[in-house]
Amino acid sequence: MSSHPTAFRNLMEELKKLPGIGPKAAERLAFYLIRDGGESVERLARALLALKEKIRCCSVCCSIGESDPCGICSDPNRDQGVICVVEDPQDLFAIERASEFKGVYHVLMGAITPLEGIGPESLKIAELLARTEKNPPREIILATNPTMEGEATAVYLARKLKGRGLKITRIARGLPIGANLEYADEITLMKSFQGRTEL
Amino acid sequence: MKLLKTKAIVIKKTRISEGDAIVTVFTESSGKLRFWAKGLYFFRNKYHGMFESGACVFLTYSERGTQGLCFFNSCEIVDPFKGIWGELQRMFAAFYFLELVDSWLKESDANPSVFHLLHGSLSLLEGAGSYETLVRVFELRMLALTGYSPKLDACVLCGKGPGKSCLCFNFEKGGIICSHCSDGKAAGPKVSPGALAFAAKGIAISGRHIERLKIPRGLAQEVEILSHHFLVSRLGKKLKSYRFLEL
Ligand SMILES: [Zn+2]
Ligand SMILES: [Zn+2]
Repeated sequence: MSSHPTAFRNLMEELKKLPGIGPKAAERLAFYLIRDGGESVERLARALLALKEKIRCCSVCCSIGESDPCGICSDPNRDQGVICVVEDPQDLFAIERASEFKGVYHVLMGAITPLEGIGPESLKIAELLARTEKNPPREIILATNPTMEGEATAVYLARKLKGRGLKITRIARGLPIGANLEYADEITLMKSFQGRTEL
Repeated sequence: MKLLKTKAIVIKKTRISEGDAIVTVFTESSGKLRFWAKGLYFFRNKYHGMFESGACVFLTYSERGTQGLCFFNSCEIVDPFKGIWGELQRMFAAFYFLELVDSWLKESDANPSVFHLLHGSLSLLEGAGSYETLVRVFELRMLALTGYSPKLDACVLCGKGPGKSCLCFNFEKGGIICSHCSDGKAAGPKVSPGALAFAAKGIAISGRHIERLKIPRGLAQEVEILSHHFLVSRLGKKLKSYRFLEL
């Protein structure tokens, strides 16, 4: 049984539920938060509440935003005719940082991962198929990660989207095997977009 | 600490923090082992992208520490098996092979023959026409190489040869039961001589000869009983990646 005060222990318990946080890290973070007499705690609490109140899932692209549709989907300056398909919102933000792409996105919320039993039905694939059926875009760029899971997802999507007369492209191999878009630098990302090839 | 060197095939990596992962590999000399790869997810990491499932690498590491994890030293790619990529069924079959090895063998259960089976099967997958045969043979060979071959040449109860009639396959006994011994009671699913003959060949076959084997027409389900279903019954759990072979 831990001898920490109850409130402190409750915080540690919550922190421990976060990915990559073990008991030691949870304790360190909790101590860090109380070090300035509670100011950090208040700021963090406000940020967490705002997250709950203001952030919602976009019903068009399945990403996160402060409105539904999100800022990107409702921006008249974005080209609705080009949809870039990514695994996670983090990938979307990485591509936005490189600011080469002016189309819209679709976030799958993961990739087909057979070793964990994550299949197409667990991802936002049905939403993508419905969306592109309703408003066929000129091009769909498959920008899943160049990992085996990302590749399997891209090939699966290409198969599902085939025969609809859509242009389907895959981001270029400039990205090394196994790379994570989220961590790619802007130039690499820009090049991989420019060098995309038709499937 | 003594450095060890071995060829290994990457099974999977599990992200444990922003940059770090626990990588599970199946090595040629020491069986399955896990190590902590620090900063692997960062783009500038020397080993970023090297530990893709199915890749064959040459690994330098040192023995296990307290948490059962080995200490990673260095790594280079021997063969990424890129021929598997881009073809859905090839990729799914590769994932299934990896999960099977991961579930079937305990950590540091050294089995160089299974390593060569996995390596050879991934390499055959790169140019495979029929994944189904390859998958079935992989399962049968895996059973054989780990001492769990199903007994198919004679009834497990009376020892009589199978003859030309259909027999039952009994999961618990791990072999066939003749009609005389089963005496009208269902001792397990029925299997025909053709399926038994294929499975017997699959158990004994090695290397490139696999390409010459073909599952007899109409017997795919019976062969699946003798290989996959038997394996799952021994394992006591389903394999998550198996259903993907049907996608
Ligand atoms: Zn949106
Ligand atoms: Zn008998």
